[in-house]
Amino acid sequence: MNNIFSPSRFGLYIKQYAGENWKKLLQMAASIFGMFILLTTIIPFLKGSYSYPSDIDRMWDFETTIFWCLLFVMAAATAASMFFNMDSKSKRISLLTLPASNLEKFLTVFLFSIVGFYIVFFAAVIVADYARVLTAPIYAVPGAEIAHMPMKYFFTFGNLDGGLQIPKHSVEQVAALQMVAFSSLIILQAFYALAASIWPKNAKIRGTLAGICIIIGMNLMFYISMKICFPYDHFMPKKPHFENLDFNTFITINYIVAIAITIGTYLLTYKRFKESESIERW
Amino acid sequence: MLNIKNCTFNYRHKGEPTIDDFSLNLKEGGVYGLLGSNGAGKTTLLQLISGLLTPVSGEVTLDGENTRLRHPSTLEKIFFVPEEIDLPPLKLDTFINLNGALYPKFSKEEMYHHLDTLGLPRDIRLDKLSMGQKKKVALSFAMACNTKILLMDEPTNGLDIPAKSAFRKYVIESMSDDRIFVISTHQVRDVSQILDHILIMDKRKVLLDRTVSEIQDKMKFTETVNNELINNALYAVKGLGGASVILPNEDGDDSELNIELLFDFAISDPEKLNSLFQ
Amino acid sequence: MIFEENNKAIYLQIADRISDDILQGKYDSDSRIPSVREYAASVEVNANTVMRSYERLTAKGLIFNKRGIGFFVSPDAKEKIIEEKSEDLMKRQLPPLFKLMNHLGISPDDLKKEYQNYLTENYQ
Repeated sequence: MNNIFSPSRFGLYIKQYAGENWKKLLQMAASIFGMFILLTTIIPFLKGSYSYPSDIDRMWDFETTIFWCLLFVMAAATAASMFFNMDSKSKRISLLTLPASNLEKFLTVFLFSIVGFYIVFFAAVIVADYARVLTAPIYAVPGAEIAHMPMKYFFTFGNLDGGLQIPKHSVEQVAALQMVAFSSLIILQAFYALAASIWPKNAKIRGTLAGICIIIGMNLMFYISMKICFPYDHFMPKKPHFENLDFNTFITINYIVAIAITIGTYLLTYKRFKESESIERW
Repeated sequence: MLNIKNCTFNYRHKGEPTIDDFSLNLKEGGVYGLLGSNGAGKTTLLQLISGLLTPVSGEVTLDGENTRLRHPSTLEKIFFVPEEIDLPPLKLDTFINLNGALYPKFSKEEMYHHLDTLGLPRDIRLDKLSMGQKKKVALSFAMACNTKILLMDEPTNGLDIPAKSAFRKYVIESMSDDRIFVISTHQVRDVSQILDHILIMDKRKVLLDRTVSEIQDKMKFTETVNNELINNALYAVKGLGGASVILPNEDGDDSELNIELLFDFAISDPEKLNSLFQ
Repeated sequence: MIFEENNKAIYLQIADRISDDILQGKYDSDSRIPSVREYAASVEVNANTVMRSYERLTAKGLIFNKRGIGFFVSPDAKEKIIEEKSEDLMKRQLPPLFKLMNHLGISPDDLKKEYQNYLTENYQ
């Protein structure tokens, strides 16, 4: 028997996990859907976005901004509740003694809380957008433009190549923004997943506190090391190294580094999960 | 064979360990009664065996595999029924289908049979049950999984009298030469007759690990008012109008075990008790 | 099954119970008695304990094991039990009574008379 991974056993475990936790998972998904639909249907009404004619749909910018913010917040929050089925002693006992491998148990929660999150999120964005388009005509003034926001608009921060908008940013700026957004998103999510593996019950609070401590600590370390290495008044060194670096390569390197950090963090999370016991030690 | 080798375990990282350099071998074919004072580490020991706690040093192995690694091949052979049971908000049938599938020897028919014997209807929602009912569901499921090792922490707590009787019958009927049952309990009277091994523990060591027949062979348990017997007894507890005594079994007229008295003896003078078996 | 409080080891009490059952005709000669496991489950006692009872009864020649089929009552079990119980009565249970009777001055003839009256009243 394979003690690391067995597809049939993995399937049975996923079934067990979904079967026992479907209510909680559905609640989480429904609250995301609910919140988004509420935002996209009520805000335009309150803001008066459709109370005067226009040839562009004013809500696109709002949707893009708010959904990017929510993407970060909700990814972190969902990752922090990744191990919600381990928040009591008896739940841990059941989960840890169930005959499936550690990898299968970990991959299951990863699939639902990390990967599944993105599916739910973007489905909710699309549905909420549709809801707006369906309800806005009720109170919109004739001549006000109402249209579905294309997902490309969202992913390019409001820049559609060859589209309706005059490009707000250059192509390079958009690419850089995308890289920063993607990298920080997956790293943030992984960080909260790690926090959840250490504190299944209080991951959000303790994770945030830990994050703040790490950021302060790292900034301090950076500042001190710069002060030691470059004893001038300003501590930003010139960047001769980067003058010959091609922009695309720079972007690619950043993606690779971010993905590596993320994978490393999930490996740590998996390790911490394997170390779990019936009691919570921290 | 279940081997606990020099295990030390601490709930916190300082102070007295709950279990200290503890070693024990459990052999197939035994129904072990695990006795110990509160805080002696019985529940801790059961959890260590199940791989739910990590020993600071030492290891527990089942057929050579370290149980803490929690390999599915090991997990399939062990079932631990804790003292406090929590069940998910599901219908009984759903629960059985989802969880039973992961235990290769799980039998749905046996599950229903046990529920019937313990007096539980089939179409129940698990979160709407009383403590006693939850216990019955947990025990029925544990029994139906037919694992090699069955560890139970206070299994009769919360069971009504007919259920206790059904529990005893189940243990006897399902016992076989390749299974190990461990019943940790303070309610000795509920299970005294179904045990064939007595394990008395204190955190540092096993105070007694003997079969019932070995004990019966060496000592007799009785009540007496005869002062000479009391004074020369291996162990005596005085009460109203007499004493409960443990005497050496010289005439081969075996008596039944007084497990509570045996326990007191083990706690107060384990060296003397064990020397009787040399 | 309720076990007596006289503290005799349970495996011995079970052996006695089965002997009594044979004596009273619950199990006839050459008929099968329950298997160790069946009996153990019915009285809620560990099967190993019941095994000791069965071994003891086998050693006394009261039952025998047909391999693969089960335990059976020996043809002369009833006689053997009666003999053993008589022996126990005469040699162990009666002497204390005899001691008391002697102390009270009751003669063997008085005893015989009482026994005969008892038999007349209850069995004729």
